[in-house]
Amino acid sequence: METILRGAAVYFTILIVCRIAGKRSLAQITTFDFVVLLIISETTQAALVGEDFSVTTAITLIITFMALDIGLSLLKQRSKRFEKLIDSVPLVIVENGKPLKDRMEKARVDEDDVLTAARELQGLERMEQIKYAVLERSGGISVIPMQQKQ
Amino acid sequence: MSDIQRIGDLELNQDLDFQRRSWKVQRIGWALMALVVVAAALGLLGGSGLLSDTIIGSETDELQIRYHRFLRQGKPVTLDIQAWPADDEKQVKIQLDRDYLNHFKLDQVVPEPSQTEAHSETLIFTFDLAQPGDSVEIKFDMRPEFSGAVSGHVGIENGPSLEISHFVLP
Repeated sequence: METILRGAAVYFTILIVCRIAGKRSLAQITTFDFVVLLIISETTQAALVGEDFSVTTAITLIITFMALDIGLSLLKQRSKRFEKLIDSVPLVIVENGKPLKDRMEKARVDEDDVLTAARELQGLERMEQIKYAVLERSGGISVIPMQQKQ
Repeated sequence: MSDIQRIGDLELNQDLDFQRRSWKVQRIGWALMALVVVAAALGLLGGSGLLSDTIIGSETDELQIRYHRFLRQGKPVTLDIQAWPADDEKQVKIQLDRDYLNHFKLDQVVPEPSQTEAHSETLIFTFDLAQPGDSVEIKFDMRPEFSGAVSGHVGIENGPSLEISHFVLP
């Protein structure tokens, strides 16, 4: 019983903390973000397993996590509100070559991040070549280039 | 499943109201996280810290105990007992409530007691003194096994005794 409670407590804590941290924290852009994820996983392990080396505990935890995962995904399917709560929503941050500054500031994305995505994904050179840039739910940025005039 | 909106030539399920509310909640969340860090620094979440380190008793009382008020289940802690026995005493007998000790797993007692006696309500640890009347510092290394409030008496048999209490977080 205790194993399941610990597992659920840790699962929901990480879920909530990562949601509160914001989209960009999970997009793994830099070494900085990578280190945070690594450290969190190490810290979690000690809390879940402690000095308990039994196979039963490991199996119980693995199945508990997958059950929570499946349960949440079913809830997301049933309820739009719940889905938005867990997964967040996409956000347009550049429209017709113009960055939407207040949204970018709130989302803690700067123009350099957008230009990097534009170069990596579409091989674009300048902001004015970007028709739309969207901050996706994952924290990544997707870029739609301006249509070439025929 | 979600409402797809049309923004210019884009179709996506943007929801600005929700996004703005999310950002507000996010900031509140950050404030709470900061509170957690401050609470931990103060010792409120277990372990050492300004609000957790406690010293009771003194040399004039012949007994002094240092302990942490807030503990975490499974985290090792040390109960630091200092005693000043009378000049002719060759032994010090430290007495702890059984109910109190039952909440802990005792890892080690430093120095090792020469004798341990079990009474119905208490456990008595006897320590031999190198010189009669020497003051002595005894450490009980232990780990709380259960969460919740724990309290008990720690003292010297037929001598001064102090009550200590902890709150153990899971």
